[in-house]
Amino acid sequence: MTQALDVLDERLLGRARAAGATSTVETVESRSGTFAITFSIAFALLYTIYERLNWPLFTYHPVSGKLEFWKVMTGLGPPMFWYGWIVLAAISALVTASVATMITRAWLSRAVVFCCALAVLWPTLLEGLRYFIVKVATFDADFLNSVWVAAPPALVTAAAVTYFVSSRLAERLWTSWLLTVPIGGLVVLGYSLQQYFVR
Amino acid sequence: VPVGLGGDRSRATDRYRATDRLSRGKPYDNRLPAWCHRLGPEAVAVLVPARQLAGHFVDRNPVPAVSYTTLIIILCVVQALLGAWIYLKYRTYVTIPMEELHFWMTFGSFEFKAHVIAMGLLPAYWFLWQEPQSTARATVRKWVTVFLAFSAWYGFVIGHLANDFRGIGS
Repeated sequence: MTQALDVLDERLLGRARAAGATSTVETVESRSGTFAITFSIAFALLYTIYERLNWPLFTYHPVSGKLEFWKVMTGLGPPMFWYGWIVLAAISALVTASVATMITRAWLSRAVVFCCALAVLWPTLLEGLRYFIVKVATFDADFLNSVWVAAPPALVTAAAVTYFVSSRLAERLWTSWLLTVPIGGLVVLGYSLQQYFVR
Repeated sequence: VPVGLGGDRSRATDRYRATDRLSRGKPYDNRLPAWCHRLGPEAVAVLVPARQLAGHFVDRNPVPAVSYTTLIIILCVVQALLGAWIYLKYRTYVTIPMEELHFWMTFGSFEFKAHVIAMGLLPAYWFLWQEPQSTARATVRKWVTVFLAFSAWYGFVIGHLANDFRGIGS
């Protein structure tokens, strides 16, 4: 009888251990999933931003073989920024994805909504402001040409959008950003290349 | 074919095998980058699941589409690294004459290719194919695969056009 109970205990213990192992695997999987999805969204978004702002981590001059930190326009031959954008976007996305694994899913979904709204609103407001100054306003000032002018209204509007988006919608949108962000980025980047197609 | 998750998967697998075998038989086969080769049939498999068995193409060597995920990722990374390496010569010896001769469409298409390739969806692609039977992310898995297939083929076609402008190493 005692032996039978021992065997039963062993079996129950084994099942409990197996259940514990499964939950650990699920946690690891969900973390790796969060990391992978956040990395992909962040990379596409940041690459587009860095390219548009022309913020490379380094500049490579293929003719002279020189590698220089940040953006260096002068030098022998054409400068190459593409590697610099890629590496900077990869590092930034790596940091973003690592942080994403440490916060709750609800916060992450909302943070992604906020970042994507900001990425759309900031350049849109900036272009709108520039259009207003050139076409409508009777005044002009140097500080209005700075990209930082549109930052406060863009931040406030993005925060408002994030506040009004329900948790359910933010959660549903979570993986959709995987397609929306790269396609949106390519539309922006493609539009910036239109000069080569309309000549 | 059973209806449901398993049925969808097996239909997709069947179509994958059929298209994979068909593409392998093409005469331009050896000119295709390997990851274009893998991604094309996989994208077809997720877009148009086969409705019936396609004769002897599907009777032998069953290969589930998911088994190619790791291979595609490795090939994609290797291809991107090789592309980044020859991009140095391209920038020096090809784009300058391209600009001088006003080949703006080719120039712009290649610039766009650099952006398309840089979209970095591979980690998500890897994760989404970890559970191919899951319906929770089936739609996004399908379209991420199609997006990657588009980037592979766009990169291949535009890369060839740019290469044919002068020829790397000429």
